[in-house]
Amino acid sequence: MMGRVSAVALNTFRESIRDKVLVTLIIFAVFVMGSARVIQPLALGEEAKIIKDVGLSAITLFSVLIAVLIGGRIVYREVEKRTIYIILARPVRRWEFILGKYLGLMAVLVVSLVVMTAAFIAILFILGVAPQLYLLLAVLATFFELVVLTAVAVLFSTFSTPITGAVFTFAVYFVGHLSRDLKLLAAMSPSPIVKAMSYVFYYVLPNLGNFNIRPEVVYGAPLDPYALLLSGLYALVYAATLLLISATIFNRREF
Amino acid sequence: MLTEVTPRPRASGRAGPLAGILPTVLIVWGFVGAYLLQLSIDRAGESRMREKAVEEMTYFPSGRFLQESTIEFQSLAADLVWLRGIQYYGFHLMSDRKYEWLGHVFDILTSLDPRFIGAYHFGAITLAWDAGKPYEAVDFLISGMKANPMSWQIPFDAGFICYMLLRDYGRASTFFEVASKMPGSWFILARWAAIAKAKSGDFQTAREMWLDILRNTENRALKALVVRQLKNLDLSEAIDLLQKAVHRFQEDRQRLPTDLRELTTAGYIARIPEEPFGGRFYFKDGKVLTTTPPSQRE
Amino acid sequence: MSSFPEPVIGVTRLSKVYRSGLRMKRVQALNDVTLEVERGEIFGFLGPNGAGKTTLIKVLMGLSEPTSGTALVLGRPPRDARVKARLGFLPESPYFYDHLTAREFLELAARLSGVPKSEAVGRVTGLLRLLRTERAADVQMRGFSRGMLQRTGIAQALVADPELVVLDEPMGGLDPIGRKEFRDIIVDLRDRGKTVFFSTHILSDVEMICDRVGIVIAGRMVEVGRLSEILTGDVESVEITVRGVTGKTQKILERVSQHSIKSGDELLLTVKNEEDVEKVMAICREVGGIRVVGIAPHRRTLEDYFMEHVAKAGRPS
Repeated sequence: MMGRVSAVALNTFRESIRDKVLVTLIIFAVFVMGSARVIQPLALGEEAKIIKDVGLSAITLFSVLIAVLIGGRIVYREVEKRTIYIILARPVRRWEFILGKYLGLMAVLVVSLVVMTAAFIAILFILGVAPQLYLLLAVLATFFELVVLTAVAVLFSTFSTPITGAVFTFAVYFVGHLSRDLKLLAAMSPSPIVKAMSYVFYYVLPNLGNFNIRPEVVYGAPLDPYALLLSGLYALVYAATLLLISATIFNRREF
Repeated sequence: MLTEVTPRPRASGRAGPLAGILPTVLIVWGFVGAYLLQLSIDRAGESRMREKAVEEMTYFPSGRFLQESTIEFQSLAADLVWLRGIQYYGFHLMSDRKYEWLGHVFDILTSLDPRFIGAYHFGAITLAWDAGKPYEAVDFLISGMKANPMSWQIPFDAGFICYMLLRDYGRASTFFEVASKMPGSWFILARWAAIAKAKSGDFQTAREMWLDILRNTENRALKALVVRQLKNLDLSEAIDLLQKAVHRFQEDRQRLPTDLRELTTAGYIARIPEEPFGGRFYFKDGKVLTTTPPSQRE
Repeated sequence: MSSFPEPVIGVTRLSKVYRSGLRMKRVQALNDVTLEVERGEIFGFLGPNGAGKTTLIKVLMGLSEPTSGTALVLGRPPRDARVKARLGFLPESPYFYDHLTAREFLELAARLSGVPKSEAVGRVTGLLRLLRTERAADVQMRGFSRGMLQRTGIAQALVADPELVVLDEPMGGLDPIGRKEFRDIIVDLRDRGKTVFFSTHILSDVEMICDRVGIVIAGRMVEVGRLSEILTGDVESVEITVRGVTGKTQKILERVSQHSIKSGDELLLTVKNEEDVEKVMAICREVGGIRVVGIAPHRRTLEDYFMEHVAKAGRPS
């Protein structure tokens, strides 16, 4: 079983890592990080914090883009090119295929994260800002966010076209970050329907605000390790649930 | 051998663990688990949440940067910032009364949406009274006047703060005059300009000004603030009344009264006024004081 | 049809209905299809394009679900993993992973089919040699020609040493040499005890190598059986070529024949049977001066048979 999953994962990894989109996005990310200097004049004397924040934000944003753009195609491409026929005609379970795809994509994202973080630390050194180990925690939190978002992308990939899937995944990304504010807003509303809907959004859709620890990290505020651990667990549980849904949908699909 | 034909047989296809009810159960459990975890996360981070909400806005230390990066969605961003600002304010009102980030929030808010007059109004008043930063508040309002030259509300607020807190009657009068010339202003503003000029810092005028504000706003937080200030005003007025009575007593009898009740028995005042915050007035070292501590009066 | 041993493929009254388009138009791709494939035979699944061949194969491979009826492969439902381990599949116009070499791809296929690692490398090398793609083994498949792709395709179908090999239009797009190679491979598989099921619309392929044939037209199974039974070898007609016929004689001869064509000096007559051949010969002898250049009996071919059925299907029932 694991042999089959890892075979699919490895193949997915190999295929995606050579994707031009990936290389382009990583280069862009490094470029944005490097241009943090340009933003300085607006900062009123908070250079170090800005550079750190722009760097971490760039890493997050571009990883999300990678997950969305590559993840969106990941199942669709196999169906479109019909390479999936020769895979599924073999004793590969449908859920093994989905899991393999997901793990392959996560591997690509880990590699991307490592590359971008390395570039980030290099840029910090060059600009004379001392990087702290603390910053890596923000990258870890981004990793958790990607665990969830990649599962979302895979889910959409099992039944929609790449563009539609990418749009939906982005939509989930935005709502996922706004859901806490929506909940606050709804608390002030007299309508029970609005309140109920906001609660549904907050608890059913992934609450990506959990993984936003940039303020603490950049401003050196104390971080609650327990909350971070819980967030990681949340990411795992949520992603597993989405993958289960994906596998179930994929199981019923006809080709 | 080949089996009998049955319409729509389930046997052939979806074999394996994903066919039956099991996946649905697991999926439901998954969401339940995520829900429970989310509750735990929220509980763990509760004290930090409101700080976080506002700190997140300090990624972009200047409102201008935020303005430039949210080009398409400025008013939406402004709404979010307003929302978080109100939450922040409310939370700190109930707890430590420290409003470290408040000025910053309103700076961002008005950079994003300079026409958001309500932000200037609420921001300045809370800055002045709750956060205790009246000078900052007036500067804030002046920048608001630049962005909204036809607004009467903003110079009015500036005049109000100058009159009430800074006791700068000349400046207050100028602001009120400017305000009275703007379209839509209250007709009484001209009167107030005159009163301010006359340097009368009397309680009745102040009371009327607060009442006017109270009547003309929908903002519940602002109404609450006004009510508190009215009470403070009543308190100051009562203390003033009592203090004056003590002074008259002293002049007549060459000594201080033993306690406040002596004032009533001796006929200098009809009765001891009610303490608006529920405390009690008492007399100590020649001063009229109240049992209500200052923190509860804010 | 014998019931022993158990058929390798057993399809009973299988129907597949698709709903397509915005108005959910009903398309009946397969209609009440029944067939059996015996162990150790080469079964040709013949039909014009769009007859439903690929649909049936998808059902057999577990890629699609029937609307009604059953399909059993190696005695089990098609989605059963134990079944899949014992069969090999080559889809129509296959496409593989551009970024892999043929060797890497076959190794992937072996892993996914559960071939133990120790055996996989050896088998892959063997298959590459067999299919004469050894030279291209370590080149990315991006630039492969159609023939190379098909050969790699059959290699991946065989990598798990399957009992049953299913091929969808395997000869599509191949040149005559490629087609011969493929036919030889299929026959070789049968000789080694495997069962081969392949679909095609090319009659000659079926005629040359199949033991049994199933003909499908517009989703319906119109005939299943041994080629030798379908093509009884009966003489359908006879063609007689004569030379030196005059106008009057020609008219007499034409009356006896079903069909005639004049080409220069020669007259080509088509008569129904050997009796009529005798009649023609008699007329020629009587008239004299006529030379019979050729007599060719025309046995019923699969093409005749096929065209008959297509015509029948076209006619409203």
